[in-house]
Amino acid sequence: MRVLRIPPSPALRRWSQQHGYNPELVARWGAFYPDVGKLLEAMERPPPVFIRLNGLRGSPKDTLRSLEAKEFKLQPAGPPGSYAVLEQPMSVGATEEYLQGRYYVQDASSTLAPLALDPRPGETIADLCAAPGGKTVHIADQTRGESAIFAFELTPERARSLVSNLNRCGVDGAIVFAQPAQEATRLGIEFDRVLIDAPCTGEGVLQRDPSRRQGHLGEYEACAKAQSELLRTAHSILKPGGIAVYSTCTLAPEENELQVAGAMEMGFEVEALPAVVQELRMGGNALVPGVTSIPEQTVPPEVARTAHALPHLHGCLGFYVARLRKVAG
Amino acid sequence: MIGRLEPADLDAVRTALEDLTVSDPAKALALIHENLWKTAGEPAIVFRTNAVLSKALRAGPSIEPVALGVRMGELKGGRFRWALEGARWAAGLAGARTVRLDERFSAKFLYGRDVPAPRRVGPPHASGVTLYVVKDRVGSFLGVGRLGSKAVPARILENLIDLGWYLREGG
Repeated sequence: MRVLRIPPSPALRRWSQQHGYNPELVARWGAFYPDVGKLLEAMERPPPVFIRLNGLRGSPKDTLRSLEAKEFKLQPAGPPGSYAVLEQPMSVGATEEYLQGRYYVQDASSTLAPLALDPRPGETIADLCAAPGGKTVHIADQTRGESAIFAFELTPERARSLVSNLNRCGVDGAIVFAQPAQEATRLGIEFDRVLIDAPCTGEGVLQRDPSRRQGHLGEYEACAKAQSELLRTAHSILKPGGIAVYSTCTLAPEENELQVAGAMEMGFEVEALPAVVQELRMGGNALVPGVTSIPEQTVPPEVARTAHALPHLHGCLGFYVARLRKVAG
Repeated sequence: MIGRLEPADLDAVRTALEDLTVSDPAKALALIHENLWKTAGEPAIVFRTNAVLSKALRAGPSIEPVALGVRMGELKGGRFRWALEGARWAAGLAGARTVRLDERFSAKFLYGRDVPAPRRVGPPHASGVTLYVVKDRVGSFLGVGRLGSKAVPARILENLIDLGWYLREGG
C-alpha cells in the first residue's frame, strides 16, 4: 500500500511546529477534511469523559439515579446508554457503582462498533482485538448475556485487564485467548459475527495521547498490513453471509476506507450501517460518510456507507466504522 | 487445558455453598453445573459460563484460553475457595449468610480493609470461623469477610476479598 504524501504549506508547517505536530500528518488531514482548522482546534481540547451504562449489572436507570445522587452531572451523549460526564465529584473510575460493573468508562464513539455489529442472542461472535474490553462488554449487554464471544488479545498484560473488566461487568459468555487473532482459524468455528477493532495509528485519540502528534508516515504502512491480515482472518472464520464490523480510532484512509476497499476484493460487501447508527446525532451532527475521493486512489462508491465520528463535529474522539458482509459462496 | 468439573469438584463447591448457609446448595449447583469449567492442575481455577458459550465449546476449546466466563473460585486439596464473582453469584442465593455495612465501613471494606463486625451477624459456623457475604446498606455485593479466625481480633470482620480488587489489581 502506498502512503499518501501531501506537501505541507509553509504556514501549515509553522502551525504544526508551534503545536507539536508532524506537519506531514496535518497536511494529510487537510486533504480529507475541509474544516481541518476546527478539527485541530478540537484536538487541542482535553478529551471528554463518557460512560456506558451496563444492563448486565442491573437497571441503567438505577445506576443513573445512584450516580446523580452522588452529584455526578451526566448528559446523554447520543448512542443508547452513553453519557457524557460533565462533573465528577470523585473519579468516575473509582465509584462503588464502577466496581460493581454497572458502567464502563469509554468514549461515546467506541459504542459505534458494537452498535454497527448489532449482535443477537444465541450468536457466536469473535472479537479479534478485544482489550481492554469495553466493546466486548457492550456486545454481551446487547445480547442480554446470551451470546458466546471468543475474545482475542495478543498482549498478555492487556488480556489480564480484559478478563478483569469482563468479570467486573458480569460477562459470563466470553472466552479470552492471549493469542494473535489469526489463531481464531484453529477453533474450527464458523462465526455469526466478527468485530475487528483494529490496532491503528490512533490519530483520533490525539487528545488523550499527545505523543501521537509526532507520528510518522511509515506507521501507516505497518498498521495497514496488520489490519489487512485481520480482515483476512475475519473472512476465513465468518460463516457465509456473516457480518464483520471493522473499526479504528484513526483518520488515515490507508487504515480505513482503503482497508474496506481491500476487504471488498477479499469477498466482503459493504453494508449500510444499522438505523441506530445512521440516525445517531452526536454534538447535534450526523456521522460523516466514508471518504471516497482520495488522491491517486480509486475507492468504490459503496465505501461511503462507512462512517467517521470526528472530535470537532461530534464532541468525542475520532472513530471510523464499517459494516461488511461476507458474500455467500 | 480446560475441562469439566469432576463429581468430587462439585462436592467441594457444594460444601462451600453450605459454609455460606445457602438454603438449597444442590439445587443451586444443578442450575449451573453444566456451565462450570476448570483448569488442569492444582490449584484449579473454576469458571462459570453462560449456556451459549458452554454449548459452543462442547468438550473444550482447541486452543488454550486464559479465562472463560467469570471466575468462581479455586479448587485445592479437595476444598473450594470463593473468588469475587463466585461469591457474588452465591450472594444472590437464598439463605446466604450476609452482613451489611454502613456507608463508612462499606468504603473502608472496598479499600481492602478489615472492619468492625455489625452487632447482628447471625449464627456462627460450627468451627467458629464463619464466612459472610458482605453487602452495603442497600444490599449491593461488596465482597467476602470472615469472623473468628485467629488472624484478627474478635468482632473484626476480616476482609478476604472485595470489589476494590478490580481497581487495585485487576488492571
